[in-house]
Amino acid sequence: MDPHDFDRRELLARACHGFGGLAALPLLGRTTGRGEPHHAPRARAVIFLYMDGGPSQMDTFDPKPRLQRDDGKPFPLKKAPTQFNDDGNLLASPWTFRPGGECGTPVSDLFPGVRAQMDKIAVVRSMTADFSEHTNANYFLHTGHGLQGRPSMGAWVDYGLGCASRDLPAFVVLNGGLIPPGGLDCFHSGFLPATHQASVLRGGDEPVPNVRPREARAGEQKEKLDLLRRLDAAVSERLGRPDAIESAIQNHELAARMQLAVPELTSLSGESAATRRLYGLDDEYEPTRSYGRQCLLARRLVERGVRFIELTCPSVGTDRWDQHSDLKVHHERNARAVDRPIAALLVDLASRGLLDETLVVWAGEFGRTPFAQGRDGRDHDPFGFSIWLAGGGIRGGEVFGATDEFGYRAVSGEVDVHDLHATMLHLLGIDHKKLTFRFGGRDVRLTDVYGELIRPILAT
Amino acid sequence: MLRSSSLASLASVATLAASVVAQAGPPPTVHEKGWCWTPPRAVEPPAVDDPRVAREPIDRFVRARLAAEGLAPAPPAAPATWLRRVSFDLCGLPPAPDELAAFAADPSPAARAAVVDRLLASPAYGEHMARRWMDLVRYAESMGHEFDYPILGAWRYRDWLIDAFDRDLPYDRFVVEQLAGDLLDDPRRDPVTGIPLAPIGTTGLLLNEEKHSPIDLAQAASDRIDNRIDVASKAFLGLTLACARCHDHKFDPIPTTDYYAVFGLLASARAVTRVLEPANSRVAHDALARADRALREAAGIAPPAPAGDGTTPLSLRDGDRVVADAAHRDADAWHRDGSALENARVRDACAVVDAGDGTARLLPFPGAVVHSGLREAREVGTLATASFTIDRRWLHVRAAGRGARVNVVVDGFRAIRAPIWGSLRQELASDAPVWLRVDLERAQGRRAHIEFCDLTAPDPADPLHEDAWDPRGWFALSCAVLSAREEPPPLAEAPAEARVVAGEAIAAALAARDRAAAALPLPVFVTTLAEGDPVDEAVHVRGKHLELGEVVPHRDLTALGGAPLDGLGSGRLAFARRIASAEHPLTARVMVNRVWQQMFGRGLVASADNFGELGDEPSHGELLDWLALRFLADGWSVKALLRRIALSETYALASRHDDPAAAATAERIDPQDVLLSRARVRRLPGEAIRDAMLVVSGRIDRTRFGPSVPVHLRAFDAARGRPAQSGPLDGDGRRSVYLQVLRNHLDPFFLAFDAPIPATTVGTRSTSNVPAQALALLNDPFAIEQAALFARRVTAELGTDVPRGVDAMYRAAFARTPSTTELTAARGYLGDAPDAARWAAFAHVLFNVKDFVFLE
Repeated sequence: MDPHDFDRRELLARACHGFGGLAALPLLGRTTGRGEPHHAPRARAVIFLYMDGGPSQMDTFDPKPRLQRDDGKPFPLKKAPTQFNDDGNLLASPWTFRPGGECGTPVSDLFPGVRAQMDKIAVVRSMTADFSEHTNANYFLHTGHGLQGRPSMGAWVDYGLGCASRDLPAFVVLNGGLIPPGGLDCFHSGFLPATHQASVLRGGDEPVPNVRPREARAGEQKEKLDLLRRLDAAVSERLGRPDAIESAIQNHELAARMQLAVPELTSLSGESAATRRLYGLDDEYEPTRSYGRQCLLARRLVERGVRFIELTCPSVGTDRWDQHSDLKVHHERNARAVDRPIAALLVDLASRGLLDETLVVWAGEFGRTPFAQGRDGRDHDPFGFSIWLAGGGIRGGEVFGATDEFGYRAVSGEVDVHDLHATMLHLLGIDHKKLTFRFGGRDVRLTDVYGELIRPILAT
Repeated sequence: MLRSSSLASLASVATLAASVVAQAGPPPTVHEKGWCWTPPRAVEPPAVDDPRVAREPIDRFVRARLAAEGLAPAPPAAPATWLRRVSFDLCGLPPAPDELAAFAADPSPAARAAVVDRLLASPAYGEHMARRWMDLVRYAESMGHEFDYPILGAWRYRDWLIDAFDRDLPYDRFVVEQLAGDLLDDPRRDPVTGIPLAPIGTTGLLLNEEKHSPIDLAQAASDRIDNRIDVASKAFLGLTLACARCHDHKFDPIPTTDYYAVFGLLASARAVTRVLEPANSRVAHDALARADRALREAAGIAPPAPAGDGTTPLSLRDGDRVVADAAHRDADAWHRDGSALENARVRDACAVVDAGDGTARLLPFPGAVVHSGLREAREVGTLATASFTIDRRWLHVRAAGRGARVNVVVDGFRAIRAPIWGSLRQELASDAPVWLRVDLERAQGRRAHIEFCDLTAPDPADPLHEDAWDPRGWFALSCAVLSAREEPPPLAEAPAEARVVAGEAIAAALAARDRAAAALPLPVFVTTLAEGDPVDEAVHVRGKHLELGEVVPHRDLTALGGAPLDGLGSGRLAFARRIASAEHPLTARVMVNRVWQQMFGRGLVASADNFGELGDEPSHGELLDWLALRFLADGWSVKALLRRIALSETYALASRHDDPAAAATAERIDPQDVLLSRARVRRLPGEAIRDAMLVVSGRIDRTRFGPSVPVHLRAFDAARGRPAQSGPLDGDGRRSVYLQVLRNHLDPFFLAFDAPIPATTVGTRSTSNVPAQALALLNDPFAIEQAALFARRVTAELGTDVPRGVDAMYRAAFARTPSTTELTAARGYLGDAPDAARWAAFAHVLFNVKDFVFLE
C-alpha cells in the first residue's frame, strides 16, 4: 500500500461525517474506503454475537431425527480427521426441539428465549468454514483469512463507511470476559490504518484502556488540557498549521470527549427497571447478568451511531462453547448465559424501531461433530453448521440450507464465511467486490476472491 | 538428480492429471517487464546553478527536477531542527541538550559532518536500524496462535541485527547471511564472544507464526513456507512473489512456477536447534577429551572405534523399512551440531558415567550408535537424521539417553504438542538401549526426520528460559525403522550389562574429567536454518497443496533468466548470492529506497515493499539508480549511504517555505511533497516516543543486547498464552527494541502508534491518528511516571526557578527554546512557586504537546 497519498477530497468527504470521522483520519494514509455506501443500505449497524468455541448445530438450530434414532451406532459417512482424533459413535442430542414463533422454525430447549423470536430470525443451516482449529477458524470468521494479520470485518466496515458517532469509535468489541483463541488480532485492523481497529470495551471502572483520567484533583485535567491547547496552538502556528498536526490536535479532543462519553455509555442507571429486567440484569446466574449488560450496551452503542459491535462470550466458569466432553452440562451453561439477553436484545431493538436498521448475527467459528468425542463430547466440525441473522434486511422466519441426516456436512445451499461477509456488507450498502485496499501488490478485499450473497434470507 | 518432494510423490496420479489439464489450458500470460527488471542505469547528475548544492549529486537531481516543475526549495531548516531530525532519523533518540548547545554554537558543514559521524558511531544507531529491519521480518519471539509458544533464541537474531548495523556489515553479506548464513564457510565469529554469527542471520526467516496442533501438517507446511517466501521476496527484492502462489502473478512477470522453484528451495531447508560454540571452547573440549581418555585407560576400556560402514543386525519382517541406521556411512551426512557429536558415530560404545561416589558406571551400547555423551554428558549436541517419507504406521527408534528429547519432525512441524501430535515428541530416560514407538497413522505420506537434542529443552517451543536448561543430557541413536507392525523388529544382539568400576585411580580420573567438563563454556542455542534433503516442489494447482501440477527445479526467477542454481545442496546459497549480487536489478535499489524512506518519510518508490507493476513509479528514477550504483561502489555500505543523505541540502530543508508565493505554488503543484521542495512533518514511531520519554526523564538504561525484557501485561491482555508474570511498567528503562514481542500480547502503546502486527513484511508503517494514542499519552501510567521523573530531574538540576525550568524542559523535550507565547502560557499554569506535583503535571503536558511526537 502507499500510505502517503493523502487525498484531500477524501478528507473533505469524510469530514462531512462529523468530527469523529475527521479526527479519525489517518495522517498520511491513502484511504480508498468510500465513506458512503455503494447502494441503499438496509442496515446501518451490525451486532455480531460471536459464539466462541463453536456451538453444536444438532443441539441448537438443526434438528436431526436420524441422529436421535441412531444414537450409539457407528457414524456411517466418510469422515475427515478431527482435532482430537478420539471419535466415538453417533451421539443423539440431549435436547428436545420445538417450533418457535408463527413461522415454527424448530429450536432446541437450549434457547427457549430465542425460540420465541424466530419470526425475526433467518437460520442458515449450511454454513461452512475452512478450518478445524480454533485460531485459524476465528481469524477466518473475523477476517476472511485463516492466518493472523488481516483486518477484521468491523475494521472493513469502518473503513468503508466511517463512523457516525462524534464521540465513539466505529468498531467496538464488548468483551464479556473471554478473548477468543487468536487474541485481539481477531479484532485488529490488519493492514488497514490503525484507525479502523476495534476499541475493546470491557466491564469494570475502565472499559477502554487509559480512558480514565489519573489526575487526583477534580478539574486538574481540565487545567492541563487548557494548557495543552495553548501550547499545541503555538506549535501548529509555528509550523504553518500542517494537516498532520491539526488532526492530531483534534484527535486529542476526541480522546478527551471519549473520557466523558464512555462512562456515560457504560452507566446503565438511566435504563428503566423493566429494561434491566428484560435483559436479565436481575438473573440469578451471573454470566446471564454479564451478557445481559453487554447486550444492553450493544443497543446503546447502536443508538449512538456505532457501526459494528461485536460481543464476546462471558465466562461461565468452565469452558466456552467448546465441549469436547460433558456436552450436556456445559452447553447448557453457555446457552443459559446468552439466551435471555439475546432474546431481550431482539425485543428491545424491535420495540424501539431499531431492529429494522440493525443487523444481528449469531455465529460461532464452526460447529460440532454428530459423533461423540470420547463418551459425551463433540469435536470440531467446520463442514456444516448453523448460524442465524436477524434485523435490517433479513427475512425473518426463514430457514436456509441443510446438512446431511446427521448434521455433519452441508448438503444443500452450502455457503461459507465469505458469503456471510458479502451478505453483511451488502446489507450495509457495500458491494464487497468494490471495497478494496491496496496491500502487498493486490487490491485486497474482506472476501478475497470469493463471496456470494445469501439471497434467500434477504427481505425483499 | 533431486528427489521429488513428498507433496509430489503423494499423488502422482493427480500430478499426471493436473499436468494434462495444464497443458490443455491457455498459455500463461507473460507480462511485460517493468522498469524494475532492468539494471540501474548510470546517469550523470544534472548541472545546477546554485553552488551550495553543486557538490552533492542528490541535491543536483532533486533541484533540477524542482526547477523543471517550477518549484523553489524551502530555506534550510534551523540548526536545532536539523539536529533533532537527524538524531531521530539515525538513532531514534532526541539530541541531548549539550549536543544542542554545541551545534547551535557551530552549525558549520564540518560540524554537521561531525554530528552525523557521531550518530552513526553511536550504539543507538544499530538499535534503531535493527528495529526498522524487524518490521520487515515480522519479528516476534513467540509463535502466536492458540498458546503463543516462544521461539527459541529469537532475540539473538535481534542482537545479530544490531551488531550487523553497528559494524556496517556490507549489505550484500547481510542479505546472504539471512538467506543462507548457515552454509557459509566463513561463519564470521563475534570478536568478543567468539560465537559464529552468520547462521543466526537465517533466524529472521523462521520467525513466522505457527499453528497449535494443525490437523493438516501439509497445509501448515505450505502456509509456513508461503510466509517465508512472502517475507524474503518483499524484504530483499521488493517483489510480491507470494501473489504467484495460486496462479501466475496478475501484474508482474512472475509465473507460478517461479513461486514453486523458490518454495522447493525453502522446503529443502529445515529449522534446527543449532548449538553455536565459541571458537576458544575448542581448548576446553580438547582438555575434556584428554581427561576422558585418561579415565578410560584407568577403567581399562578401549576408546570408541569409528562405526565404519555396515548395518545394524535387525531381523526385518515384511513391512519393515530402515529409515536411519547409525551403522551405515550415510549417517555421516546427518545434521550434527555441537562438540558432543564430534567423532560420535562409533561402534560398541561405552559411556563412563560418574556415579557420584568415586566410582564409575560403564554403560555399554552394543552395535553402532551416534552418541552425544561419550566424553561427558555436559557436552551438548543436536542431531537430525535424513528425511524419509512416512509410508507405514509405526516408527520404532532404538535409542538410549537421559535428559534428552526426541522430536519426529513431520513437514517441518516442530511446535509439537498434544492433542493429536503429542507422541511425536518423546523423552529419553534409559541408560540401556530401548525402542521408542511413535504412531504416525495421521501423517501418512508426509516427509519427516528425527531430531535429537541432549538438552532438557531442545524443543523450539519450550517455555523454559535457557538459563534453566540442564546441559547434562545425552542420547545415543542406533537406528529407526518404519513398520506396519506395532512391535519393533527383533534385534540379533544380546544387551550388554552396565557395570561399576572403582578405585583411587578411577576416582582421581573422574575428578579430573569433572573439572574439565565444568570448564566447558555453555554454548548458544538458537533456531536457524539448516540444509535438509533437497526436494523439488510441484506446483500446487490454484494454491491447493493436495492438487499438484508440474515439478519445478530450483532456479532463479524467470524474468531474471531463470538460471539453474548450482552449488551445494539445494542451491540456497547460490540463490542468496544471486540476490546479493551487484548485477541484480532490484536488491540495491530496494535497500537504497528503504534508507531514503527512513530519512524522508517517503521512499523514492513510495511502495517500499513492492517495486512491481502495482507499486508506485519512482518519483526520481535517475536518482534512485544513481544511489543504487553509488551504494554498490561504496561496498554496500549502509552507513555511507545514510551519511550522504544526511549531509545533503535536500535533507536539511525546512518544512515551510518562507516565501508565501513559493508556498502556494508548492501547495498547488505538489501538495504531497513528492518532489522534495520542503521537509515533511512526520510523526515519530511509537518506539521513538517511548524512548524519548525515557531519555528526558533520565530513566533510560542503555544496556545493550541480551534476552528481552518481559512484556508489561495490562488488564486488557487477556489472550491465551498469557505469561505468568508481567514485566515492569517501564521495561527496566531499556530501549524499546529490547522489549519482548509476543504475538498474542503485543504492546498496546506501540500498536496504537502503528507498530505492525508481526505477520508479514511491513516496510512502510501506516501513520494513523487514533484516540488510543491520545489516551495513552494522557492517561497511561508509564507516561505519567516518566513525566514525574522528568520534572524531578530538571528541578533537581536547576532548582525551581520557573523560566529556567521551562526552558530546560523545552530543550530536552523539543530541542528548542520556548517562544514568548509558550513561556507565558507555561508560567500561567505553573505560577510562581509550583510544587513537585505541578511540575510533574507540566512535564506530562509537554509529552502531549504535538512537538514531542512529531518531527519537523
